[in-house]
Amino acid sequence: MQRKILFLLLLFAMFSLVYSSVAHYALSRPPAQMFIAWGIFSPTGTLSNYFSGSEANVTAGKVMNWHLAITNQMGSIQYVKVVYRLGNATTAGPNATVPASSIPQLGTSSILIPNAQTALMNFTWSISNKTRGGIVFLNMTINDQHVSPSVSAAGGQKFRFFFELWTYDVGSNSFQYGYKGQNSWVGVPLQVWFNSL
Amino acid sequence: MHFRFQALLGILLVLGFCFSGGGCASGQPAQTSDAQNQLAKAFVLVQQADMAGASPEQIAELANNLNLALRYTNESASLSTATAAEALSLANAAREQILFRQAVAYSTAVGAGFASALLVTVFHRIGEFAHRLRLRSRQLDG
Repeated sequence: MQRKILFLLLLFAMFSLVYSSVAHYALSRPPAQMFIAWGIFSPTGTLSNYFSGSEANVTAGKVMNWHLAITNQMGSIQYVKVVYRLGNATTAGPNATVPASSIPQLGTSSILIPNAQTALMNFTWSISNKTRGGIVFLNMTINDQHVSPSVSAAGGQKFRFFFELWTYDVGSNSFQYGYKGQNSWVGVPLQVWFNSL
Repeated sequence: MHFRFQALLGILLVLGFCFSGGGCASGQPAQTSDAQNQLAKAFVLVQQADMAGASPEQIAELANNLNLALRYTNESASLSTATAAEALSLANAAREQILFRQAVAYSTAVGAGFASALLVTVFHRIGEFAHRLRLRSRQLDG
């Protein structure tokens, strides 16, 4: 009788272990690669043809309506900030590890994006006017804000917009450049070249 | 009881934000940095609710509220605070729901384990019982 009870208990422990493992597997979230992807879209919804022509030339007063599409696959809601800056051909741009801190930012836009969703941000800009002569400085309007960047370009050629993605880090209570990857922060900067005519 | 606890937590949170300089008692527009701080705090709570397993629809609704607050940063303090309180109660509800789900799953696993063990130990008796039944029916037929 005692052996029978012992046998029953042993079986009970074994079956419970197996079924609990199945329950744990069913309740666990599946592992997934975490990332944030984004792109700059033209008014026609493409990742090209930003200037509605083959040349990247922008005349004063011409309004550009771009959209930033940001997809969050980080596994939870993210608080994202986009920093935009103006550079020229020689400016040290942002890369996968550091932002372009050497040039001042023109502005920022922030948004909260739930997991597995794509958010759209408007980026509407135009050149109000520019200085004449060899070295060109621009006065711009970006998302209804007037800005006068300190960056110049010879003949108005080869300006470029830098777009940096920053995410809010709960640990440091501040925005950090890029998004938190498995082992380190991953910067995903974007840039668009243009000439001022 | 559960609702009372959540309501109490929500009220405490709102009061906490008000006394920490949110300015919601005075009715004046809060400073931008204060509003941003409260927005960040609200975001942290929403993220906690999300990670605790709150439904995507509920999280999307809270995100919409905070995005609205972001658009009007100067007037956003009260909206951020309300969203934070809602996120806190949502996080608690999600945690409780997950705990309940886990309790049900593991209890079922242990119960099924016991039933399986019992079935294995008495399986031969079931065979014997069936055999006896068959014999008896044959005797009755004969």
